[in-house]
This record gives sequence, structure tokens and C-alpha cells, in this order.
Amino acid sequence: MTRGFEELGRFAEPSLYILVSLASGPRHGYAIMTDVEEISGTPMGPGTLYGALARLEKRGLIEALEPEERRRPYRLTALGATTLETQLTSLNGFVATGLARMKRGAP
Amino acid sequence: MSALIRLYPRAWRDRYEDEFLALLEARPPTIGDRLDIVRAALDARLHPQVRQAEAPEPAHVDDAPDDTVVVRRLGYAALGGGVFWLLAWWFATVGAAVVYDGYGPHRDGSAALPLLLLSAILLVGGLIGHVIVLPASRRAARAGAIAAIPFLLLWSAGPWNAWFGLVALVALAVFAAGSIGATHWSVAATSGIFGGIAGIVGFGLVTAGLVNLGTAVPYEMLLVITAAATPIWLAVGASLIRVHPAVPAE
Repeated sequence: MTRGFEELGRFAEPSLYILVSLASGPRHGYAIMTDVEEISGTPMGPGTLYGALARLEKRGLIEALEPEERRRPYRLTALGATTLETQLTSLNGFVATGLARMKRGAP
Repeated sequence: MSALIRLYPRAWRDRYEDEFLALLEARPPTIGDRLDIVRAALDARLHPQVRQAEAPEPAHVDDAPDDTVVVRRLGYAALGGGVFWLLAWWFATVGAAVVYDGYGPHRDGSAALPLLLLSAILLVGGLIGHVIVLPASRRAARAGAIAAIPFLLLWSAGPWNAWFGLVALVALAVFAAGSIGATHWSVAATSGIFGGIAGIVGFGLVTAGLVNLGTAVPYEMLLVITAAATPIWLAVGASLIRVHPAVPAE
């Protein structure tokens, strides 16, 4: 994880899920929550969701759009897209290394 | 649900409350979600992500949902806790029922235990109010208040565990000392808490001294000494009642 993600503490993983969710276009809180549940297989609590959204917004990784009634959609910023790409590339490398080592070490 | 939202700081609510409530209406929270909200609200207070400048105070404070309503109620609760503290020691000492059993006639102060626990719970409510009110920069005071909470509850549930009480008193002292200079706090409140701590320590010393001397402990004396600890509840409660929406954040 990059330095920016490390400082998110327990919100790092939920933040990554949110960025992935927003990668396909703007979504409001409820849509993000259901999408994350679909991606991860685990429900994300509303407090955790908004704790992560506030952190991502403060760091300029996402931005809020005009509210639609009371729902406010969020979208990735350019910085958010770059950060997400870096994160996923890093994770991809980590996964590839892990799988390769398992193959070499397999009995 | 609005009670849970009020756990969040004002700036956070000004920014996210509407959409957050819309989310909760779309997906009614489970018990797990409610716990998640409480945890996140505490986090929002300890690690604020939304600055007040981004969410300015409303012009008419009377129209705004305000922490002060909750905080003041917690203040009154703490004051009520002081009454239960006095009642608890009344029932533990001079008001204890005399029972006759295999040990001969003696006073049974067990009726005091629920009152003692209730007084501690109400004091804990007051401390939570201070955690809400104290600015993030008052780290020592907030840490003291938070640390005192579990130990107060543990001690009041089993007052014979003196170590729990001792840790709670140290934490209260840190809280009282760290709060000096905060807008809603006064030096008198700190003095009250230190005086109350002295009262409880005095209780312990007098009891231990008389027991060592083989002297019967005069209940009236114990009641007076424990009553001297009541300023802890008064200081915690009265300072919360003084909190006013117009008081600027530090």
C-alpha cells in the first residue's frame, strides 16, 4: 500500500473497495454500499462507509457531486484514479509473487 | 436514529447528515450497523476529517441540532449521580439494615450496591459528555475521561476491588488537570474533583487505620468522608450544564 493508504488505518481496506466501486462511474452512498458488498462478499457498515468517504474526500481521491434529492453521488478524481491504479498494480504484483512462491514451495 | 447521528461532531453532521440519513432510510440499520455508527462517530471526534470552516456554524443556533442538548442532559444525569452516590453511602452506613444471623447482629449494606453502580453509570454519562465537548487538542483530559469510564464501572460493580477505584481516581485527576483552561471548565471544577478524590482517599485511609487499630468504624464518620467525594459529580455535571452553543470551539 502507498503511504497515503497506510495513514487511513482501519479505513484503508474499505477505502480501496470504495475506489474500486467508483471506478465504473459515480455512485451515491447506498449504491456504493451494495456494490462493495457484491465485490467483497462482506457488508460494509454505514459508519465505516462514511468514515472512509470523508477520508477519501479530504485527501482529494474522490469528489462529491451535486445531490440528487438527498443522495449525493461521489466520483473518482484524477488523483483517485491514479492512486487506485497504483494500489491495484501493487496488489497484483504481490499476488503474482505469492502464487509463484507457493508453486515453487509446493510439495 | 437522530440520537446516533448526534454522536457525530457538528462539522461532520453539517456535511454528511442528510445523505447519511437517506442511506439509513434506504437500508435500515441492523444492530451491527448501529455499533458501527457509534464506533465511526467516536472516530470522527477523535480524528476529525471535516473542519469547521468547511461547514460554518448556522446563523441561528436555535434552529440547529446541537450537541449541547445531549451534553446538558448528560450534565444533569451526572448531578443526579451525585444524589445516588450519597444515597448509596447512606444505605451502606447509617441507613444499613441491621440483620440477625449466624454472625450475630450486624449491618447489611448490600442495598447500597445498585445505587453505587447507578451513581457510577451517571458519572460515566457525564464523562462521555466531556469527551464530546472537549476539543481534540485536550488529549490528556480526553484520555483521562475515557480511561476512567471502564474502571469506574468495574469498581462500582465490585467496590471491594480497590485497585479499580484507584485507577479510576488517577484517570479522573488527569481529566480534571487536563481540562483546566477549556472554555466550559473552571478551576473550581478541578478543585472539586481533587477535593472529591481526597475524600475517597481519606475514606480508605481512615477505614484501614481504624481496622488496624481494632476499633469499630463509626458509620457517621464514613458517611461524612464519602459525602466529601460528591463534588466529583457536581464538577462533572455542572460544567456540562454551563456549555452553551455560542461558546466558540478552541
